[in-house]
Amino acid sequence: MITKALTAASTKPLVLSVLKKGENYGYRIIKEIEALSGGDLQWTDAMLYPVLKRMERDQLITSRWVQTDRGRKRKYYEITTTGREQLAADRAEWLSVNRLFARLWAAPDASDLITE
Amino acid sequence: MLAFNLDTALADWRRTLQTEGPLEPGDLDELESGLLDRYDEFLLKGSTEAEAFRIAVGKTNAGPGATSKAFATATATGRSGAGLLGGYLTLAWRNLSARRWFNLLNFCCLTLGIITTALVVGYLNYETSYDDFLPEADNKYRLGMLLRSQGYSMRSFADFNSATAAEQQGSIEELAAVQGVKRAVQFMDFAAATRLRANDKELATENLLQTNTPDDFLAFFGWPMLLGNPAAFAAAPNTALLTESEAERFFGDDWRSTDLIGQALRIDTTDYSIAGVLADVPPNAHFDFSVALHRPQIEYWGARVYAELLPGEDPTEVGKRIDENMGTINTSLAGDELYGGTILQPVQSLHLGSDLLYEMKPPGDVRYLYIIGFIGLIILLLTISNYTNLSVAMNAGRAREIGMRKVFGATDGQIAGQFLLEAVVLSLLCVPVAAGLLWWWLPRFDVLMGTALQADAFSGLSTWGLLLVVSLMVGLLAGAYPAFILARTQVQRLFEGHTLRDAGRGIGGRKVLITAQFVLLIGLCSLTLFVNRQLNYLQNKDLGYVREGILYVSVNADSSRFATFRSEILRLPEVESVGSGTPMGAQSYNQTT
Repeated sequence: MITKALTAASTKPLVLSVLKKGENYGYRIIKEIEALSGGDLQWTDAMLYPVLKRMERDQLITSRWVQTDRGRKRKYYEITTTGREQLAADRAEWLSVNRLFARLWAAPDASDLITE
Repeated sequence: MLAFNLDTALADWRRTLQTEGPLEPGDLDELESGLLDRYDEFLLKGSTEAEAFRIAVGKTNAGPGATSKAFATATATGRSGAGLLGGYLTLAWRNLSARRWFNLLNFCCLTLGIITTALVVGYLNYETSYDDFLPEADNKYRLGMLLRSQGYSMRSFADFNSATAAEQQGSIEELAAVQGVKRAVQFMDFAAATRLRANDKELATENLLQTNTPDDFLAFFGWPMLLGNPAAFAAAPNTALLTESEAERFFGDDWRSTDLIGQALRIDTTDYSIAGVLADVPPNAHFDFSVALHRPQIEYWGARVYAELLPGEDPTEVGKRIDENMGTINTSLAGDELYGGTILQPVQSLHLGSDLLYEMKPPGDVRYLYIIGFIGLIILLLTISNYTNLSVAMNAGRAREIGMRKVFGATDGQIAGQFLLEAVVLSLLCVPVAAGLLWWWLPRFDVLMGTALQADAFSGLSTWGLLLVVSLMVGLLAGAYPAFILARTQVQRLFEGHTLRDAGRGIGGRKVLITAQFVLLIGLCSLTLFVNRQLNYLQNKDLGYVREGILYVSVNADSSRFATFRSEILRLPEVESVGSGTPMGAQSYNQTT
């Protein structure tokens, strides 16, 4: 299970990454992340929507209400230019940390060996 | 069992979320949209409508109150600090403009309260600051004497008016030689006007001072010298020091560029050489002078005597040593059985703590300071309670505004802060008006109370600082009660129009406040009426003689010159009769044993 801190840190870049592929809405973003993470990341609506609201206030994404064919309202989000720039910056940071972990965890050391 | 109805269930769910905490309509719609998507998902998976809705709610909500808190946290930053303050100020200005007459009434009461408080503080500060300009004041004392069971603020010479210059000088030198005395000064002040001639001008001048200890006189009091040399004043007798005001009177505003050092100053038949110009004596000095004359002999029966003691000396012990040495200091007093000893008084205690015979200025009375301070405090309390009551009543009509703000997430602290800010803004708006009224009133106050508050009232930052501090304090104290009353009222009661929580129910804070306000007001008005009637009695009581049509003239002359003066005056057709007597208003002396 992913920790709260890691969930919180990764939410924004994950949302931007999903929205980079195209316009999307809250529930479908949650389902996509759940599917891609194999169930490890299970966001709640009450967790995601405030984050989307803040990202919109920070001008990383924009939103619009759409009337569905069933008469329901749905809020769609789209990434902005500022959001793309932020995503590029976040991507560089995460890849940098990932490369570091990859180097550290690549070669087994003596402490990993089980001695009998 | 009732059939599941989606619309009803949604309505109940929305209502539940709203009661847990404030949510904006758009946020609630978005949550509902997500909830319905999940509901459809679980319906497709085979759950019943009710079951699907229940699971969907569980996955949508974060927990009681947590959903609204999460939204509030997400949008909280960026509208704190300067952003909120700007909004509060706009709101404050809007509300002050909306209720003009109420706020004008409040404004007038606050201004009067602030002016009164500032005046009281200024007066108390002035009265308690007498002689604080004196350098190393802790060791400086005035020497009086107890004679004929009466305290004198001055000391007589051994041969009174006949004491020679050498005898006067010898006496002060013997005093300065007493163990523990660092320096001794003697001088005499003459309040009556004398005609002085200098720079081709002859002007009547009051408060001439004669001293035969010139260098100690300057060193003891630390008078700042603006022009000239202290050594020149002390070097030779018949030299004079003018104060700055006298220099302006005789030599004009550009006296600094005039070569007045060494010029002659004639008093009667004696010429003095001007040795320098001193700064004007501060208004909070226990005595005043306009011209200081260095003379070998003081023309009087006694003098004002001051002594600076060495650090660490006990004044009582020094007083005893002076009395033990009276045989060499003053043989006349030493042999007088009615001489009761030396009175040593710290110079800084003279104004409020001394009322001996022949004080140079009317002394103050510390009891009056307590009374005035107490009255000032009452007026301050009246100002604050008046604002509080008016404010609570005035803001009762803003219940819905406060309720809506609380619904949209405002905390009690933010509501209270807004009302406090309105009180402080109104209070600070009083400052320029109060300053203007003070500027007009202070000269009249000085005449009424015999003070000199206006002298440097607006020259430094102290008065402005005082007005700002008093205004801030009054604004905060006055605004605190209504701010917290209105902030703590529950949302439901606000929408029902109940802002006055304790109205009609037992003894509450507001009732206590109103009662206290009226008690103070009635008490103060009664006291004022009483004092006014006493003053009227003092001023208008029939004293048994006709006071109108009498002209009082001070004639400093012997009896032969008086006869001539009388006969000349009687020649005037308007004069019916001329009489004579002792100077008016003289204190009784030599009367008690």
